[in-house]
Amino acid sequence: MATKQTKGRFAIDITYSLCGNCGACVAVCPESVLHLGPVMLTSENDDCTGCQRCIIICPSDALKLRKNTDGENG
Amino acid sequence: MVKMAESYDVIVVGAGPAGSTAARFAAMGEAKTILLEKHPVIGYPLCCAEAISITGLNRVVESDSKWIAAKIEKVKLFGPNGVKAQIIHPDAGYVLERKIFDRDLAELAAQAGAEVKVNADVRDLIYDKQGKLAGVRVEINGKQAEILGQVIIAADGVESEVAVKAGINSLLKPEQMHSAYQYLLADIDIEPEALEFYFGAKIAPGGYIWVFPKRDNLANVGIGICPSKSPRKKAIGYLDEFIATRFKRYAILERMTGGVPSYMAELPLYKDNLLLVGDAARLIDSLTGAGIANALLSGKIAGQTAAAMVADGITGQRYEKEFNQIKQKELKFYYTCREIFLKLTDVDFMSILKFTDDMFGEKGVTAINPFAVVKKIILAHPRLLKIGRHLLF
Repeated sequence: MATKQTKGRFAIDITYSLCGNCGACVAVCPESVLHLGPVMLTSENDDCTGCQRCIIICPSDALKLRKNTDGENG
Repeated sequence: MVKMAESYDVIVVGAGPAGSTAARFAAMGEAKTILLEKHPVIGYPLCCAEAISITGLNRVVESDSKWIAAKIEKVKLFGPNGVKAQIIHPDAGYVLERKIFDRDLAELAAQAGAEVKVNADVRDLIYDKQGKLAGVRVEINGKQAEILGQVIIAADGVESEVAVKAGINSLLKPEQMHSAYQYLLADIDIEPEALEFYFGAKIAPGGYIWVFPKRDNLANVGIGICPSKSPRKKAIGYLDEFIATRFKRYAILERMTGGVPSYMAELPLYKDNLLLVGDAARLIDSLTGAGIANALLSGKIAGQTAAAMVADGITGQRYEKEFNQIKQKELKFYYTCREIFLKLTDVDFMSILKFTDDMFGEKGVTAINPFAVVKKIILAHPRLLKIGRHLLF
């Protein structure tokens, strides 16, 4: 996706029925957007730049990139 | 409201094999130790194929028969076009029952005197006025708390969030990880004492498929791929195709995902009073993805060092030095092997497997020197020599 990597332009949607709570996505996120908590993976901040590293590493297609239409950069 | 901070000598973040071992050895060294696990159940969720060498286990902890699901005496390697090799090795290793193993290691830490808290999710680090790391902010059963400590051991697994928060760049690029998926399969036809590995660009690009038996008719069957070699197809897609051809019948009892980090040679193992262990320190054998033995060893040395830091005022350098003395050469070697492995074609795999089969044949081996085996394979393959020369010799 040829987009300028700006914080807040994108968000990550998590499909919980596919997520295995392995934390691979957390290990590659340069903006610390994702956090694996006691029960589930959560999106912690609005800093996603849309780099898609989390989507590439996810073994089971649990993550999708969404264009953020709410933020001021949307 | 934030409760008054409790104070410890050593805080260990994460109760996997590395963290529980670190907490145990810190407590054995008379340090007031707390072990924090974010999940409500230690040993769950599991993201592991559960294999370990016998030396890797026994070097750190006296093994208990209830941790061992299967003893491995044979390794079978399968390449493209039906090419295969076999290595008979009566003491190759174990497939563990990690759910019991992890819980027992935490119990050993508790018996040594460490306090253990589950459902304790570390959210941030605390620094004192001089800028020294002084503790953690943690959510315990949903309530905010502060815990102060003189030494902090980051054993928070592949996510490695503590290191990142402390300014250590443990962040991985997708090409520095394997994307993994695994099933626990029941009712399958396997040899209960043999590990199976499957290689090839169409089988598992940049990685391999494994069948690790846990007992008769029960095995961890999984895959790790290099995602940059397969932009369109996920690990699970290859695994499902494999299972459909390998097993006539099967039942899936569990499914799990995993990210397997590659060793990062440049990553420090400590920064001031913070020590990194196990997956959080990227202490993985890059070729096979094995990490339990390194987790145990790094946990032991880090725990001992942390206790000495508190008692004698030494620095974390002892941990890094002692661990690297034992393991650095091996970890670098496997990292180099991975670099070569990622360049192999199906023709290479076929040729290497044939060579390996001729080398080992039907006679059993008592020990394998991986350095010598890889050197022999490379010297016998001019193309590998070209790929690997600058890396190996």
